[in-house]
Amino acid sequence: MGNSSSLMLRDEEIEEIMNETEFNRNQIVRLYSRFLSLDKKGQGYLSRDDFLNVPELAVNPLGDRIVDAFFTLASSNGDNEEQQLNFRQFVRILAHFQPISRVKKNALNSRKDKLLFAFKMYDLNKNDYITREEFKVILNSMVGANITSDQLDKIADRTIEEADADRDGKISFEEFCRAMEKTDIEEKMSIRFLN
Amino acid sequence: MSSRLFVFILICYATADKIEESDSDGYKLFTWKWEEVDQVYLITVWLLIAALAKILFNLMKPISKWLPDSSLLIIIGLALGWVLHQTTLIGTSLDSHTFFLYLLPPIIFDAGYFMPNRALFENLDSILVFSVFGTLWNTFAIGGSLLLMSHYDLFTMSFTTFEIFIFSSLISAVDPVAVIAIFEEIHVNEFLFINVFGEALFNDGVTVVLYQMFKSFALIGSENLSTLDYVKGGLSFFIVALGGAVIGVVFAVAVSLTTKYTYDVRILAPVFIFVLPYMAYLTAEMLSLSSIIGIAVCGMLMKQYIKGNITPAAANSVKYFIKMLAQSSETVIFMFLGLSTITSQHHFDLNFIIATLFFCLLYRAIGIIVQCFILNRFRAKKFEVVDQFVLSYGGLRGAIAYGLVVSIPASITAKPMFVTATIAVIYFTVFLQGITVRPLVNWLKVKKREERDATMVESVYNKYLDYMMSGVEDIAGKKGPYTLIENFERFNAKRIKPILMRHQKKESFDASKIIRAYEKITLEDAIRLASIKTTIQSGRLESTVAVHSSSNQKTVTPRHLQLEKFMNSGENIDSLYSLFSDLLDRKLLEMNTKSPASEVKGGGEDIQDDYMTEVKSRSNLAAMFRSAEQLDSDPAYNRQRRQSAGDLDAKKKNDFLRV
Repeated sequence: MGNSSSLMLRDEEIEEIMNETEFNRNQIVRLYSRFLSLDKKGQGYLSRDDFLNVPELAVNPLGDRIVDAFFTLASSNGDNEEQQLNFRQFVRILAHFQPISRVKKNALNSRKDKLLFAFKMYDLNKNDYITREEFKVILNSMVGANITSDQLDKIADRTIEEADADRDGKISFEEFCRAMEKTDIEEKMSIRFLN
Repeated sequence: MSSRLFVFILICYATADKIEESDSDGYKLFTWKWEEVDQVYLITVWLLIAALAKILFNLMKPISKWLPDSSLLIIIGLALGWVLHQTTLIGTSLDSHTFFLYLLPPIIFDAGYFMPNRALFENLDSILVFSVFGTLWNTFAIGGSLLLMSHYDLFTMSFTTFEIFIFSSLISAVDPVAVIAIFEEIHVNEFLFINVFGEALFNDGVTVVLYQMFKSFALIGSENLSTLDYVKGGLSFFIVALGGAVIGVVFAVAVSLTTKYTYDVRILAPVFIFVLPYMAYLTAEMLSLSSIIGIAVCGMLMKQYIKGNITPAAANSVKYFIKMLAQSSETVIFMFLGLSTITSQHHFDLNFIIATLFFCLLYRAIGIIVQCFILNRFRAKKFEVVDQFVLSYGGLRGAIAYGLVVSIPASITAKPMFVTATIAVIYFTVFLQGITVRPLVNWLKVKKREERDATMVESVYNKYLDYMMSGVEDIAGKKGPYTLIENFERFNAKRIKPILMRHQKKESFDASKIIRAYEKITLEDAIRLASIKTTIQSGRLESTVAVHSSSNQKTVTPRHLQLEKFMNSGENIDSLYSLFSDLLDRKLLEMNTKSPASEVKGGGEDIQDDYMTEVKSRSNLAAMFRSAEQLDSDPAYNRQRRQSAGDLDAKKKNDFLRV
């Protein structure tokens, strides 16, 4: 999915998006105007730089990991890393963060999809495993300045050990899900998109 | 022998009496000084009776299973009151002065200190809606309905509009003491608890304002009031509530600042921790602001800052002491409630009581349903029907209402009727709702609180999810709660913490929670391993295996699992023992080499067992915590070093210098 540079949002598109996700018309229009405001060069798609121009994201320690996850999830076949995000892909990823509704059984904001997003952020080299080194990098970016590297190692070791059920030294997606079993992911990873 | 003893005592008594009567200059061997201690003695006796009663309940398992503690205490109070009344001895009743000044503050402070702040902020919208609008709705609805009924002469005593509104304002307030007492026993999930409890805590602001307002209106008389007075009444909400909160903040800062500098006089730190919040309460009372909100806010805010300023041992003691004070107060309150039932002036009007009860329940239910309906449109986490039911059922009334009703001026003729009705409502909520809430909660399958330790995984991932969600919110262009939380935490870590806490460098992120979680879990593991080791030594292997394989598997390190397999396969105990020793040593080494501030002799306790060890440890610690450069030149430290085994200390010193 390369660059469908449609600057105007057509009604059919809105309909399609409404079927795919649980957004209603107003929300989609609102997200579209957000998309346009992020797309400063008016190219009809977003590149990594556009994301990193969001000032709050720049101060966020996990900023570039989040952007990375957006682009990874956007690519349909997984090998080909996306460099550009069109509006459909943008909305589809944000749909992951909709609150889970009991009415519509939608594939995009299920618990598993939310967890997948979180997992992809950790998995730097995209091999579907979180290794100890990858985990240390993330931990370091979150808390690195405050603790010694020794403490960092120990915390990382401890966390990996707790989650690593098959003892292969890395965490697979299933192990990640199981570790987060008791956390209320549905609530934590939901954003209320205003009408 | 015993008869001789008896005669001896008799003689003492006789002589003592004689000596007193004769008023001579002889030396008084034995005098009866009741008047000097009577007040205090009575108070301590009450406290003792209350505490003993609580022990008794826990022993009487079949009864305490279905009857909550608070109801049992009231029953005991009733029994005692009846006994005292029959014998016409003086029994003190619960006067509002004692209640509001001495008994209530510890409970509210405990509530504020142990408040889960995070959950509070996530639910702040619903809590504020419930406490402000809910209380207002209840007050006017109940008052209005009772007023309407009184027009049809259904009640035996008459009252004016303002008088009935005084009553309805105090009866519509949910009581935090009662809520804690009942909800703590049934362990509902945190979401429900924080909503009911947060509402109970903050509606004090509204209740107090309404109560004072209507009281002064009633005293002034409706003819003398102008619209300006009504407006001023409305304004006073904000002033009272916000003023109370401001006072709480000021005193929280004061506590943090003072504990920051008490390092050398560490025993004093708890003094500040207890006295300053109490002063917050008194100051707010003095200024007619909401003292409950004041002391609650103070407790909530100061926790994170003082945790960094005092040692873990001191923090623990503070925790236990607060709990103890709160528990005793609560026990005494309920007992006195039973007692006061006998000693108060009553006017029994069945219509009024039933009407009040009915309206309380009805309007609370309606209020909750409507508010939840509106709230659900704006919230990610919605209130389900079950939640709404528990919320309306959890609207318990308690001692605060009683305290307010007895301080109604006696000039209001309907006061005895109000008092009786208040007591009736309190009894109803404590007994009926208290007893039925547990089976109801089970029957409705309300989600229970998760009773397990947080794993390391969760501490890390929760932090990580916060950052992630805040980032996604930014991308979606939304200013949500996560952005606010992250902004606040950043501001907190960068500016506030360095001012209020010791040894805090200016950081952009705050990792202390993760590190504390790690240290806590490692410590627990080490202790568990140590206890396994000793039980193996004493040969009770079977029971240990059973206990430890059933305890939560998530926090256990993989070697420990290995260990259990080992045990289950029945290998010989010696190799087990050596494996254990290795593990334990490894864990303890980890702990010791980790933190630069590890204490040397005296085991890191604030208060040693006796004065000898106290003196020794103090000289060690004082030396340890001067800067690294000065360490070598300190004579006391060097003396100790030369005397001690040397190796371990040297290693610790190196670690200290390295970090």
